[in-house]
Amino acid sequence: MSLIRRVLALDDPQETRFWWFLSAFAFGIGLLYWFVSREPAGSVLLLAFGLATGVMAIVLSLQPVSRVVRERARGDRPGVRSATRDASGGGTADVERPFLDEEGRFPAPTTAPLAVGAGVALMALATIFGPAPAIVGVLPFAWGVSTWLSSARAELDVVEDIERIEAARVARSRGRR
Amino acid sequence: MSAGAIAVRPAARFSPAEWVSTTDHKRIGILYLVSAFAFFLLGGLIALAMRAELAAPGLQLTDEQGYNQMFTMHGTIMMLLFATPTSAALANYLVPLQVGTADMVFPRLNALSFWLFLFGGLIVLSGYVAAGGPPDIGWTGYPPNSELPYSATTGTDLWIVGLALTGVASILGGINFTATIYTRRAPGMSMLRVPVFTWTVLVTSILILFSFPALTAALAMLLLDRRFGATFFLPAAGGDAILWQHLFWFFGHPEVYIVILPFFGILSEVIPVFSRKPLFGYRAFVFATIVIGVYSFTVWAHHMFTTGAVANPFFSITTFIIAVPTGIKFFNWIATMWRGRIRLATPMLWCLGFIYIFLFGGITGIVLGSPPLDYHLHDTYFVVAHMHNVLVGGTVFALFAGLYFWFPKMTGRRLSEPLGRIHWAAWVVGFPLTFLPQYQLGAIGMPRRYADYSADAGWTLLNQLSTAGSLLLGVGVLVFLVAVGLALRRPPDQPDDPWGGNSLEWWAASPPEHHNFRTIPPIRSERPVFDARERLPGEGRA
Repeated sequence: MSLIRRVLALDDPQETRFWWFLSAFAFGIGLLYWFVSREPAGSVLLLAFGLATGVMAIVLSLQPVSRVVRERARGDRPGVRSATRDASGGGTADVERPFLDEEGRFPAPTTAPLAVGAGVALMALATIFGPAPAIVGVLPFAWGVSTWLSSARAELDVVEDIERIEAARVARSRGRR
Repeated sequence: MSAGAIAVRPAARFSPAEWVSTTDHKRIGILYLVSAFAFFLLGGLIALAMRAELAAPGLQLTDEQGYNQMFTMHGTIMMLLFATPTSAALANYLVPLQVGTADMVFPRLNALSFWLFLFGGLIVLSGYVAAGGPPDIGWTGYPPNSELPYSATTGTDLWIVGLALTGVASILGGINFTATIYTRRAPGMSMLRVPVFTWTVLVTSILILFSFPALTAALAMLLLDRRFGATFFLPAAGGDAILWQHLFWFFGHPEVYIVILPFFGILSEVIPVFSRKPLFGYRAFVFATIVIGVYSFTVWAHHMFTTGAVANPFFSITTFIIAVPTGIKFFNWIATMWRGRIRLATPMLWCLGFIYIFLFGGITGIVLGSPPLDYHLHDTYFVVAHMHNVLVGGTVFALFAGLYFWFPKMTGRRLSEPLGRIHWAAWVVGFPLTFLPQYQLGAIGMPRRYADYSADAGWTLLNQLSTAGSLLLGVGVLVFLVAVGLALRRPPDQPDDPWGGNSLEWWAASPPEHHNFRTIPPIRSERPVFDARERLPGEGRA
C-alpha cells in the first residue's frame, strides 16, 4: 500500500502531484504519438515536455518542506521546521503551503532592470547589424547587472541582520525564563 | 477604511522617474496594460486599413507587398504584442493581490520582463523604418517564404530578434508567476482555495514555460539560416520547412490557450459577482483548466492537416476532445447565472457578449478540426473568422469585462456606465457584422491574405458588410478611450469593494497601498472576502 502511494505520489503535496501528472501525461501521449505517427519532431517535443515536467516534479518532491507533508500524511513526526500555522486556527497552513516562502524586503526603486533590458536588446541587435550595437549595449547591461546584484546583496544583509537580532532576543528571553 | 465608505481622495502626482524605476507589481501591471493597449490601437488601425482595402475590388490604398506587410504586422502585434502581454498585465496586477501577498517573488525580474517585452515590441515595430520596410511573411513566418532569398527586408530580421526578446520576457514572467503562486499564498489558501483567475494564470505560466522555448529555438534557427548560412528550413539545401511548422505550432497552439485561459478566469471572477452566486463547480472549472492546458500540447498539428506530413486522425481526435473541457467552462458560467440575481452592469454585459461570440469560435473550431472540411476551408476567410471569434471574442470581450470590473480597484475611479454600454453595443453589433460575413466568404472560396479580388467573384457585398462592422469596432474603442479619459480626470472616489467582490483584491484599498494589505481575512474558501462580509455584516475591515 505504502509502495503504491509512493509510486503514485499520493503523499506529495497537490503542487507536486500537479507536475507528476503533467509529466506522466506528456510521456504517455508522446509514446502514443510516436507509435501512431513515427514522426520524430513532434515525438521529441512531447517527450521533452514530459522530461522537463518530470525534473520539476522530482525537484519539488525533494524540497525539505514538501517532505514535511509526506511525513505528516504517514503520521510521522516532521523532521524539519514547519511553516507558520494559520493564525485563525481554521486551516492547516503548513500542509496547504508546503514550500518555503522566500522572505525578503521590498526592493528599492531601481533602473537596473531597465538598463539590463536595454543592454540585452542592443546586444541582440548585433546579430543583424554587427558588433556596434553590442558594444553600446554592454555598458547599460554591465551597470544594470552590477547595480542589481549589489542592491540585492545589501537587502539580504539587512534581512540577515534582522534575523540575527531576533534570534539573539529569543535566546535572551529563554535564558531569563 | 471601512468597507462601505466613499471618500474623495486627492489624485497621486504622476512621476515618470517613479514609473521607470518601479518594481511594484501593480505599477508593472499598469505599464504592461498601457503598452499592450497602445500596440492594440496600432494593430487595430492596420486592421481598419486592410478592411478599407478589401471594401471594393481593385487596389485602393496599397499594393500586394504593402498588404503582405500589413497582415504580417497586424497578426504579430495582436497575437504577441497585445493578447499575450495583456494577460500578463492583469496577472501582474491581480495575482499577488488575489493570493494575499505584498508583491511577486522576484520583483526586479518582473520589471526586467516588462522592459524586455517593450524593447522586443519596439524592435519588431522598427521594421517600419528599416530598409525594405516591415516583414511580409505572415505572423506565422513560414519558411521558405521567410528565408533570405524570398524575404530580403531587414524588417524580417528585426521581427525575429524582437519576438525572441518578447518570448524571453514571457518565460521570465511565467517563472515569476509560478513561483509566486506556489510560495506566496496567504495562510489557509490551499490550492483548491486559489481564486479561479489565479488558477488560470498558473496553468498559463506553465504553458509558457514549455511552449515558448520551442518558438525561441525556431526563431534562432531561422536567424541562423538568414544571417549565418545555416539551412535548417531550406529544402533546396537539405533542410526541412515542415520542421518550422512543428516548432511554431508546438508553441502556437498552446499560445492560443496562453492567450485565452486568463480571460476565462476573468469571466469566472466577474459572472459570480454579478449573478450574486458562487461560481458553479469551482473544482470542475479548475480541473477543466488544467486539462485544457495540458491537452493543448497535443493538438498543434491540426494547423498542418494539409501538409500531408502529420497523422491527421490523431490530431483530429485530440482536437475534438479538447472541446469537452472548454464546454465544461461554458456550463460553469451558465449554471452560475442560472437563478442568480443578475445585475446587468457593464462588466457583466461584456461577459454575456463573450459567451455568445466565443461560442461561434468554438463551434467553428470543431468544423476545422475535421480534416475533410479543413481541406476545403484551409487558408480561406473561414479560418480568419474562426480565429478572430476565438481570439478577439476570447480576449477583447473578456479584457473589457475585466477593465470595467477592476478599473475602480486600479485607479479608485469608475468608468462611465452609459459610455460603457455604448462601447459594448458597438462591439456586440460590430463584431458579428465584421466576422459572420467572413465565414460565408471562406465557404465560397475567398482565400485569406489576398489584397484584391475580382468584381465578378460575388464577394463585394460581404466584404463591405465586414468593413462596416470593423468601423463600428473602431468607434467602440474610441468611446472606451473617452470613458477612460473622463474617469481619470475625476479624483478617486470609489470604495474598496464597489461590486461586492469575492477574492482578496477587494479586501485591499482602492487603489491598493504599496504593500497591498494591512490585514488578511481568514481564508476558508475560494471566496474569503465574501465570507468575511457575510460573517461581519456592516463591520469594517481592520
